[in-house]
Amino acid sequence: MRTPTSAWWRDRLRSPAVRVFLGGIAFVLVGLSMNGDGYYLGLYTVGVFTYILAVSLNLLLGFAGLFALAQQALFGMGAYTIVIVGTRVGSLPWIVCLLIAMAVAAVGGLLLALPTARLRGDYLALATLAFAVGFQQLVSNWISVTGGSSGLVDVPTARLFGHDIEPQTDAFLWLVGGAAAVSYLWSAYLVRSRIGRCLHALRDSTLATESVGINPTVIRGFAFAVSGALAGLGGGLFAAYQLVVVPTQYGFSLLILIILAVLIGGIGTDGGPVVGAVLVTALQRFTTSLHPATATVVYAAILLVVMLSFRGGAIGLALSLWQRVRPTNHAPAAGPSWVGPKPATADLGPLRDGPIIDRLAMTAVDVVFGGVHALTGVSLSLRRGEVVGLIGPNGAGKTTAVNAMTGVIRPAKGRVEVGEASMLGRRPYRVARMGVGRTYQHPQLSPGLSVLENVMLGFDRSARATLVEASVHSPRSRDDERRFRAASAELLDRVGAQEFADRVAGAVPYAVQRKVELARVLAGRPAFVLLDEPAAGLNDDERHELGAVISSIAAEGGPGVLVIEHNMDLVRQVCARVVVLVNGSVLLSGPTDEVLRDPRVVEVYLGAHAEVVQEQAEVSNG
Amino acid sequence: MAVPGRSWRAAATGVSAVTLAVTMTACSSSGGSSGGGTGDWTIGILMPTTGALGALGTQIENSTKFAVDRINASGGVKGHKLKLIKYDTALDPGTAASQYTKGVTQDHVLAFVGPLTSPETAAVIPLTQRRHVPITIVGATDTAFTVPPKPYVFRISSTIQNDAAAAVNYAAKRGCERPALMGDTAVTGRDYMAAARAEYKKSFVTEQPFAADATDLSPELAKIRAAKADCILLGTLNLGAVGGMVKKMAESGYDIPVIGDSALTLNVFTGAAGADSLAKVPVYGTSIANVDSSAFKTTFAPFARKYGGLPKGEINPAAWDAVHVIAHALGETSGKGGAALEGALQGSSGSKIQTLTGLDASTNGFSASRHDWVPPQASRLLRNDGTNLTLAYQASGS
Amino acid sequence: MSSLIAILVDALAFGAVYALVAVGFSIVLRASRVAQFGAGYVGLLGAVLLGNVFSALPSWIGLVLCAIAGAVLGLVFYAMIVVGRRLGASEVQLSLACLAAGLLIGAIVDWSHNGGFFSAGPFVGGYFTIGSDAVLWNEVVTAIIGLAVLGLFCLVVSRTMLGKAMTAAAKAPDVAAVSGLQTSRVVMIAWVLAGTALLLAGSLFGALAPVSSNSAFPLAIKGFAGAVVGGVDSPGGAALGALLLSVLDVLFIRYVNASYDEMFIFGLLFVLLAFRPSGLRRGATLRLA
Repeated sequence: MRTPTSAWWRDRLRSPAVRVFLGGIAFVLVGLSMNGDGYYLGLYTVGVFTYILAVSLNLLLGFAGLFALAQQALFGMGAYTIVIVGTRVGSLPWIVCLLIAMAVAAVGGLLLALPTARLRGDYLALATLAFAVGFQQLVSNWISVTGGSSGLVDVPTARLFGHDIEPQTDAFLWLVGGAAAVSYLWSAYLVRSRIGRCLHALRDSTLATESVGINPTVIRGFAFAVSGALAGLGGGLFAAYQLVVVPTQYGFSLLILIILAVLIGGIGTDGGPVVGAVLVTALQRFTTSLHPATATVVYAAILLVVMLSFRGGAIGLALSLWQRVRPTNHAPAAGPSWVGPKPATADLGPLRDGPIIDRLAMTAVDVVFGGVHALTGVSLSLRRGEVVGLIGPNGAGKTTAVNAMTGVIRPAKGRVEVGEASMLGRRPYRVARMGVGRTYQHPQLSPGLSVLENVMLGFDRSARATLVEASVHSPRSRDDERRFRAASAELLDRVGAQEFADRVAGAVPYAVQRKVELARVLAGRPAFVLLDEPAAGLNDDERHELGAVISSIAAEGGPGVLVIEHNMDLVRQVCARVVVLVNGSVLLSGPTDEVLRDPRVVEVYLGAHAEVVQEQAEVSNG
Repeated sequence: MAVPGRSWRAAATGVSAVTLAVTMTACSSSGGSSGGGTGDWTIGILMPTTGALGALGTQIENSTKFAVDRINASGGVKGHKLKLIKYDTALDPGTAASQYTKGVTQDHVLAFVGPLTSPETAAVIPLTQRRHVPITIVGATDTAFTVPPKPYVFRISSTIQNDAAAAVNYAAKRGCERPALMGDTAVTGRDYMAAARAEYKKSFVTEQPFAADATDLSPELAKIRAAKADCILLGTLNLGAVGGMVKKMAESGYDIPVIGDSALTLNVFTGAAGADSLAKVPVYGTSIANVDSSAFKTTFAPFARKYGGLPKGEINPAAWDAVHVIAHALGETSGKGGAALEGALQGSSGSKIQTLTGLDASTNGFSASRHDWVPPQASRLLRNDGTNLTLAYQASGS
Repeated sequence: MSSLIAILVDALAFGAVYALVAVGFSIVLRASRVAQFGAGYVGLLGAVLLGNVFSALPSWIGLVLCAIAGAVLGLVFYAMIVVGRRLGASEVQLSLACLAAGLLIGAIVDWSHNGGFFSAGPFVGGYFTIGSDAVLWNEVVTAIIGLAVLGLFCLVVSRTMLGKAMTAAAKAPDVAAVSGLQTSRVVMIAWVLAGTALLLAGSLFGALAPVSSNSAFPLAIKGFAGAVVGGVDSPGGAALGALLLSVLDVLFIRYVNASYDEMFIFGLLFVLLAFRPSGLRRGATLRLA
């Protein structure tokens, strides 16, 4: 047996299970050192509550990049629910009440997510703030249920296995510690799963990720629900700790504390909430002897400094110092991803039910922006296995047409159909799932993920494990990951980018990024692929290679490909048919050679180069 | 492929967390040392000396300190000096509970003066049942705290029901034929309105509940005006909104009397309403202070000299009484706390202890079945005219 | 019917205040994509300045001084944003930095008042009656001042060269820069204007009701809500949105339920954000995140 290498140790230490084990030992040791002193046990317990809240917010703010400001309301939902359920529904075991509290808070999180999953950062902040304020007013006034401003004072004590667990005792501390472990594990596994990958990608570009068939509402909604459940867990336990539930404790000042904990600890890291909770609890203890205005000054000053300069928080600071002490040459890896073995075969299974779709068509489509017609009466169609070019001068509306075909823009008039089904008014991810894939003028990869992970995004829809299973690292979800990994590697091989698989996508050459984007689109086994200027920025050799790839994709019963291009060599190389778009209308469409020779096309589109191209056309025609 | 530091992150985090926590713990003095010098008996003040009611909490703290200084100056209790430690609750129930525990476990407090508000009290009461260190509520009016009486929970302030009853009787005495009733939707307001209804037995011309965190009471005022009320009975802790309402009444010439609870005697309320408004609109608040007694007057002068001029009622005689009650009980038990102290407290009587509250000192007292210091009719109505509090009505007299 | 006038005066007076907050918020959001989460505290400072610091002076002088103070404060915030950007902070981080700065201001106010209430008005005394309602002249005057200041702001933003420059810089900074526009100067002016609007909003608020440090948050959030309802990207729309919300709020309090008005307002806001993030104004059909 070989001795474990340092790399092996590093891998083990990255595992959430190992981390929670080590953390648990440290936690117990510190807890025991308090010698049963009620005051310090109390401080420690409150620190753990701060940690649980920080973990729940870190999931949204740190990993999903969602500027959500309602954590205090979700916490409050948990607290109120456990008391209301415990006192009104007789003889329910306390643990059941706690689970109900978590469920209610999870639903609260979902409520938050559904309308906001697509909102821009500042709008999301305002929407979640509004929710939190509304919640406070509700619980402050709904006297019959929540006791109004005076709150609820008849709080059932925590009770497990027939024993009452009183606050400020060791037993309560272990209970809360257990909850903290659960919070960490669930959050850590979620972030390392395909959900985390999708969240990361959605954060980088919601639209581009949608184009791969990922539904932002479902993914973000799930994250919100888990975040809510964790906050609710904290809230339910907090009620059993305080033995009183009043609205003022679930307000704006708690939000500031949680934000502070997440940010000064180190946003988007596993350890951030730990450091943050410790620092915030220490700060609280330090400032109880001060005037609250002074305390606020301290908190605000720290927040200000951290926001402006130490954005990585304490952990980020520690890491950058460590880098100086022990600099390395490793290329930075992507986010917390799973390192697993690569199996030999990749079995994907069918991606889509239903009949094979034969035709993608837009018919007589008008697109209007603020009174200006970007497209007028545009019709174009694409069949499986054919490669069609879409050409025209800059500003002719080519990208707009593709946007209209993929659900990014809703046409004012006309029809867009995939097979028999209309795509009008469908969201981009729905269109993608119906079998239409696209790339963008500038590659829209997720720069922080690895190349392989970007391609794995394309397989997300064929996951067999549910979201819940994925978030707890179930065997089925591990199986999914293995399959995706293998299949993605194969696709990268096919487009000729396999050597970059583990590199961070933002750091690979431009040409490679284009290939990766293509591989990601192909992962979805689309019936149609729309490529927006795929050759831009490529040199002659790269362009020729790309052309070969495109042709091979469309060959042998493959998808139909639409290529928006300015480069006529590529158009000639791969396109059987060409559509010419000028000023938002179709000028002409037909076989490539004919169209490219047509004098109208030459005149309108090619302008000064007209003669050169005409000569070339004549030459190639012999 | 792995980022350097990343796998060490867990270790670094763990170590720093443990170090910090252990340092914090090590700095604490766990383990018994007597709380103070030889023979000092420790009393704690559990008040919000910062935050929205900070001014009031500070006054109570000052009153308590004043009383303790007086007692110590005359030799202490049976030769033992009293030591006072302040615990700021910042108006947060969680902090109140934590500070209570701190006082009990770290500083060996034998009894507390406080808490002030109902939520804080609610959070502390369960701890009193475990720790057996008594509290003397000063201010919170939620009747449920002492009725039925709980061990280790005593109250030296009025209950909201007694305040409401006093207000109704005063309104009748003034000749109010068309009283309006207002209250916030918190326990204070709800209990006030319920008690007022029970006492009045007739119907109010209009009843206007309002949100406990409301900022503007113009709609309610408009309805009261429309109902042609000739006085307003009011139970709330929302000083800002009521202050604004009184201001608006003064500015619009609507100067009917406003008869409220103890909140309307506070400096904070006077600041919100403005002295000008209070000069125009007659505003009355309740107090259990025996403001016209000679004891009160002789006590107040040196207090004003030491702590600056405050309107009369703000000495908070309840805190003064609390100190004397606790001191007397400690004398009885020779400094022992817990169950012994509980027993001694239950035997306290106003005839033996210097008291500034209530109508007749002999009617004040605790017993096994009564944990409220003052009898129901001790609630007086004081007029707050912006600079002074003057007695307007007390139950057993004119 | 007569009470409707009283309600309207109430709504316009408070609405003007929230609208000023909305305008300040919107101007800065357009120019820098930063959410000025310290808005409520800037307002709080305005109430303190007018009510305490400048209380000995005639009201109109006090207001002018407040406007100047607001401009200076806006400059300070702008400096902070510049420093932050140079250090590489994102918009979210800068928004939170604004919150932190606001909290600092709030702490300073708290220090001097220990949580008590204070007031900045009234501007004039007296009242007139309509039916059984009394309408204070103070509210009328405050409403007029507030609406006048609002109108001035909106005029500046939409009509003057400066205003148009701000719009251009916001929508297409690259193009604006190439056209010779000094984007940074324009952004700075946006922050200065916003500071003035926010501070004055607080001053007027203090003239209407007793203010404490707890008033900062409700003041701000109603302004934000109004901005979103009316369309955050347009100061004029934001102002109208806030005015509309204020009227709805007051009507709701009077005729439906006084306790749940905030739930109503924010429920409305939530629904609007779910279906029409760009506010009530007609926007493009582009569906981009």
